[in-house]
Amino acid sequence: MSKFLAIGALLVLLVFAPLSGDAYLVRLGTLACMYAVMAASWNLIGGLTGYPSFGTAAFFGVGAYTSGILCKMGVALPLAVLGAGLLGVVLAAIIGFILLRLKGHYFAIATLAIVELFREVANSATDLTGGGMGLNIPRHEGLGVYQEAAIFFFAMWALLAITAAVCLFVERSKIGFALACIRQAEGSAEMIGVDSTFYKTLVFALSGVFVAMAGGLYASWVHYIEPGDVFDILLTIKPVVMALIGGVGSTVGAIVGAIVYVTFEEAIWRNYLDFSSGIIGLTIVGLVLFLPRGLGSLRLRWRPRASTP
Amino acid sequence: MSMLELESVSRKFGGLTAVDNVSTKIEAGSIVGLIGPNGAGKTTLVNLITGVIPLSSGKVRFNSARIDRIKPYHAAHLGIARTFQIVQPFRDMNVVDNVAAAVLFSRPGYSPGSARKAALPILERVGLSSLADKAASALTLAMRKRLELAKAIAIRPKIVFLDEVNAGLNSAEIEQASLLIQELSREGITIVLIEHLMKVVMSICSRVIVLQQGRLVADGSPDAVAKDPAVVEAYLGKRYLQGRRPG
Repeated sequence: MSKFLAIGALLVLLVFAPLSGDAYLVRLGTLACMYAVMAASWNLIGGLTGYPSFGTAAFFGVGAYTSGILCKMGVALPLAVLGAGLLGVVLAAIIGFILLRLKGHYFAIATLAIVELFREVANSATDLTGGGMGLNIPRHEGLGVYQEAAIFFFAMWALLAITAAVCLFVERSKIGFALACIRQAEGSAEMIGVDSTFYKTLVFALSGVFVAMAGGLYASWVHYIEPGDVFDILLTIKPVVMALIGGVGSTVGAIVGAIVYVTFEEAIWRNYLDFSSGIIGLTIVGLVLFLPRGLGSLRLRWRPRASTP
Repeated sequence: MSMLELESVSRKFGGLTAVDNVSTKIEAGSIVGLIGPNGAGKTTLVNLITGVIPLSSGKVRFNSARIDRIKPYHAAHLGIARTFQIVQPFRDMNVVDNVAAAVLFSRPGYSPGSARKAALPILERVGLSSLADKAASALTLAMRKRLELAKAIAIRPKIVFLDEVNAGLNSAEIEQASLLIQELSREGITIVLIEHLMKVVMSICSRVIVLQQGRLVADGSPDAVAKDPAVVEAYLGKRYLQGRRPG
């Protein structure tokens, strides 16, 4: 019951945030939702399946460029974002099918290479992407700056709601059961009839689609993208850290972790500009050392552990 | 009719031929022992049949259909089960969920909930009911071996490969396991028993196949195989055989 109250309160807070008229708060909220989408998506493959993907930025960048280019061609934003999601899911399915036969470090390195590869492609395809010059995405005519910010806030928030619903469904369904088997003993999983290639590819594709859509919204939100910005390795690292903060393997944990991280980073950045990175780094080290199961594990102290899944 | 048919099955790892031109047939309903010294290729042979690793050459037929290019999950759907010599439970799951997973993913028409229900009688059979809620990682080796067996049974197999299910067990536990294996056989499940304990092999197998350095060196009744010079040599070496010769 208290859980529903908390979620309800959060909803009200989020819906009314733009009405406060505080542009800073709206920007922060949009950013938090965007990272929550990415952290929850990473959790599907990195947390539930146990394949540490470092490819998040690749799908974010592909989504940003797809939607940016489409918007520039005059396609309406919702269609452009859908287009970004479509390309994201197709690319993720193909890349996943190829790379998911690698395990552990090998998989991590391979996905990291995909980010580099895509960035170089974006850098070189000057005619399409503008290359290193970046890509300008036109503003929406007839909308005030603040109105536009509010629209992107709600759009990102809606995307998070869809992502969370899908991730929670996966976590609790037969798919989640299969992923738990694959994570814990892939050979055994195959031997009892789990088509691991199918499930891994499915989940990798799912983890790509929403990240690409978030990238698509991001491009229109900030109006200017360049390869180094949307294929930034930090866009790969941060969602992983967020999932670690919240507790790997839990969708709710990933989302909470994203909100906590964005808030924390902002507070540190505002107050300790000179050594903000140092403080954030030390905090992450501390978290991994003393709370390896994330904030979610604090709950276990007074509640018995539920059986998986 | 033979259920499983191997035709010139070979597997090379670089320069090493782990399984070398093995041909044999396994009749439905039998308990066949597969023995041989360490490194003879017994587990590799099972890995080839269940699709864990691909064949270098040869053919495998299951109920007359070619299966030498299948994936392990497909083998499970066909009714080919195996246990792992080094047990691989789903560590973070409890015992019921371990078995429920096998029911859910090998047989159509189950939900996670109904699979858990179907798992309970299987736990009863292998004597794990009292540990149903325990995490698999908390089980002793003997219990983990039983869990492996339960997972193999849960897929409703037509044939099951038991890879050293008795290794590391005490004699009472071995006795129990042997009874269970014979019971499964009476239900019509074909059993291939990979085993080092000759006592178990001699008492429950109707036929024994012997591998040495990847080659099939003997095939016959347990008594005949135990007296076969090739088998004695495989286990005890040439010099032992020469030493026993009169004169």
